[in-house]
Amino acid sequence: MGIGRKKDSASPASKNIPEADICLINEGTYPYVTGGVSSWIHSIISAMPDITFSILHISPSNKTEVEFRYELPENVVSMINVSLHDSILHKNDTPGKKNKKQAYKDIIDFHKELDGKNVSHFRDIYKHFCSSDERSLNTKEITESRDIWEIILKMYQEKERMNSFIDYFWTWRFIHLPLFQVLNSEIPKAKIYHTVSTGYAGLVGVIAKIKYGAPLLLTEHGIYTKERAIEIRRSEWIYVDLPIKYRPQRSQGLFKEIWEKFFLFLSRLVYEHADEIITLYSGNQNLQISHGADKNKCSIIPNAINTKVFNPLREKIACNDIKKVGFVGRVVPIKDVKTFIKACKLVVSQVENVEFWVLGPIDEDKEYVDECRRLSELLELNRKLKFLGRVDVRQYYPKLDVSVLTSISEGQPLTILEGMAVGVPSVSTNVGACEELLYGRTNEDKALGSSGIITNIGKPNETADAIIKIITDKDLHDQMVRSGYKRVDKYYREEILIKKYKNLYKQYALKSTS
Amino acid sequence: MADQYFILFFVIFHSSLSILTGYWLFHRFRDDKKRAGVWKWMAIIISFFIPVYGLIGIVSLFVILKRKSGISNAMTHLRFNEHLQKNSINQTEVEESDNSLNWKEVKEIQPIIDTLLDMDVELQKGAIDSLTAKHDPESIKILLDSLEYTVPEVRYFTVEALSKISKHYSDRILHIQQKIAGNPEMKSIVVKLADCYYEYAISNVEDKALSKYYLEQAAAQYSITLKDDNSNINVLTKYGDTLKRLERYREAIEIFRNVIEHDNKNISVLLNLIDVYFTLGNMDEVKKVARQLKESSVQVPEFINKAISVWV
Repeated sequence: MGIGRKKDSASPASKNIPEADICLINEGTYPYVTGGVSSWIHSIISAMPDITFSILHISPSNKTEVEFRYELPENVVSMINVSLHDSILHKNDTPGKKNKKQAYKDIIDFHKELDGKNVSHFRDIYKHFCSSDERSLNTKEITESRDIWEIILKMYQEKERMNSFIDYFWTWRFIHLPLFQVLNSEIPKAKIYHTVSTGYAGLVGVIAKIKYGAPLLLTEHGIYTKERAIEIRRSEWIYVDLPIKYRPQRSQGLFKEIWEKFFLFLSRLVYEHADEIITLYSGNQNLQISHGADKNKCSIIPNAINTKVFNPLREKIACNDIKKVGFVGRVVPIKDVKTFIKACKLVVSQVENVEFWVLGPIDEDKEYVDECRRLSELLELNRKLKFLGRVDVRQYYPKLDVSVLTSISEGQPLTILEGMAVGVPSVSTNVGACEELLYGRTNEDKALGSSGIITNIGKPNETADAIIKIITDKDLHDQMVRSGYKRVDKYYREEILIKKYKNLYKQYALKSTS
Repeated sequence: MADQYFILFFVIFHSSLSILTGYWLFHRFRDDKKRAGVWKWMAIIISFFIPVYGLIGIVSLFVILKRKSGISNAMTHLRFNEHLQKNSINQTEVEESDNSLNWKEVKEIQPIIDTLLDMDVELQKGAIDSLTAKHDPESIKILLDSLEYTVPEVRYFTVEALSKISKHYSDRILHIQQKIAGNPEMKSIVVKLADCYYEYAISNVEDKALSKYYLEQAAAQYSITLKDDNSNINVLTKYGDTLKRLERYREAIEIFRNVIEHDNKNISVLLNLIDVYFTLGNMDEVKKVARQLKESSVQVPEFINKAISVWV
């Protein structure tokens, strides 16, 4: 298996899938998309050659991801892809069809649950749809039968009469079709299921847990519900009837609310079934708890980097007298690259001999990349600011004087850790765990000193001031470099992370076999 | 000056009266053996201490009154300046009374600001949507300020909204630049480009330093246009305002004076001129221009009338 391999050959979904120790379930990341989560998965698998893994990847459609961005390690024994929107109306056998009436009643109860905190009816849904011995309905029946039509109509008349039925019907259908797709997906057998998000990936994990009785671990880098809520609010394809333009609304419209509630339900379901709920930092943990996660199951395992790869890069490569400022990340709106570009303009107006590099993929949101290029042109930065695209950052870190992150939302960005390991101070917005990465988490950690500067989001002048401070004050720069070395060596080494996960795997594998 | 004569007269009159009273008391009771000591001291107090303390009191009162009048001048200027900032040169609504203008804005904006401070995240997001839909400089300023106090989920939408607004301007600028590259002979497009930079700069969407950059670009473009036709009042007015915002006051005065030579009833320019002179601390010129404005008999908002009456 190697880079560039076509997906078709990687999604056999056959019954001969070998059993793995761990089944890693992810949505829209590894091995098709690069980024923090994918790097994390890759390093976990690569660092545990004695453990076998199977990967279940969930994508919107079979047509979206084509090429692998990572070379799959030898210990990956299978790779399955489930596409959410290439709906198949499964006509599975229904040995329990005599329970159909009960199934419809359970469907109504299950939907009532979407508003509350109880998720117990999911087991009934599982029985009626997924259990090969007790299945009473298949997807074809649930999408095309008169009974289900009556149920939708009844639900609409009871609660949502003020909105259009056509929109209600299609919202219902669009939410349920991917759900059926997941409920009917083939899940490889494994000793432990490890999902890297709630949502559809988490749902697969819950089904696996019910089906095989295996432990379920959840590691959330970003909080899925929060990310989906942002997407839903921004979406233009969900119908919204908001007639009064200037009046702030308490509701974002019925249909957006239905979608949001659905994802919240999925999170609650996964939190309820997961044996361990892990995240990267305390801010995310608080969010998990507020979304219904049990405090006793929650723990924090921070991100980490392979210091063996980055520490040898500490030898600086001198580049004339020109200061180099780098933005390491994808050029997408959530990274707010425009604020970085504006900050560059402000830096240029005060400091001579400075150059800016944007180091990261420029093919994920081409429209946004064009906007960024136009902004750079407008600010006459074309000679100073370069979009270098997807590069091997290891070749560029030693040349950088400061690394900048202007994201609106982050978990625990690897780029800050990599910078610290190589000796590049960072300027970062105050999002996710950035503050504790740069200023320290515990008192002992804080005593190591700052390894960068935190700024507010959407404030190019603050970002520019911080950049100028670091590149013009050599003492400050050197102090930040020293603090970064110490912090990353003490708290963010990959060995620490691998050890923690290995212990978890061992602990649950033992439980599983016993 | 009239105030100073009045003070001098008052001091002389007060002191003379006190001294005369003291002198009269001293002579009237000189022979009264029993009370001579008391009256002597009374006469000294009246003829010496009362004038001295009275003088200090009067001077203090004068200083306080003067300062109050200064503060009131500054306050008047602040409100006056705010009015100018809100209504860029081409938008100044002189026919509308100032009070009704403020109330209209307050009625529209205040509920949105209140909503931004609400605990409910959905309502906060709704407020961001409403301000984005309005996208006037005032709303944009509130959006920018809200980045300081709203929750991260809401901030995400704010940054996105601001990005959309700034994209609107930058796209327009680039579009016009392309047009100019295609038709370098068409000078009328250069004005449009300058206007675009100017509007972007005063929209509040960018911080001070970047706005300054866009103002510099606007000034450069206006100056190119004026090389061919330096009598275009509209362009001159905007150029002057741009220079004023860039704090290039001397050049701005020159431009504004140039406009007034052609159109001495141009209220926007007269107001801007007052603003520039006030900023430079030249109160004599402020008063002169204010008098000119008063004498021009153009209809001005009530608030400006009040401001003028302070100065003239």
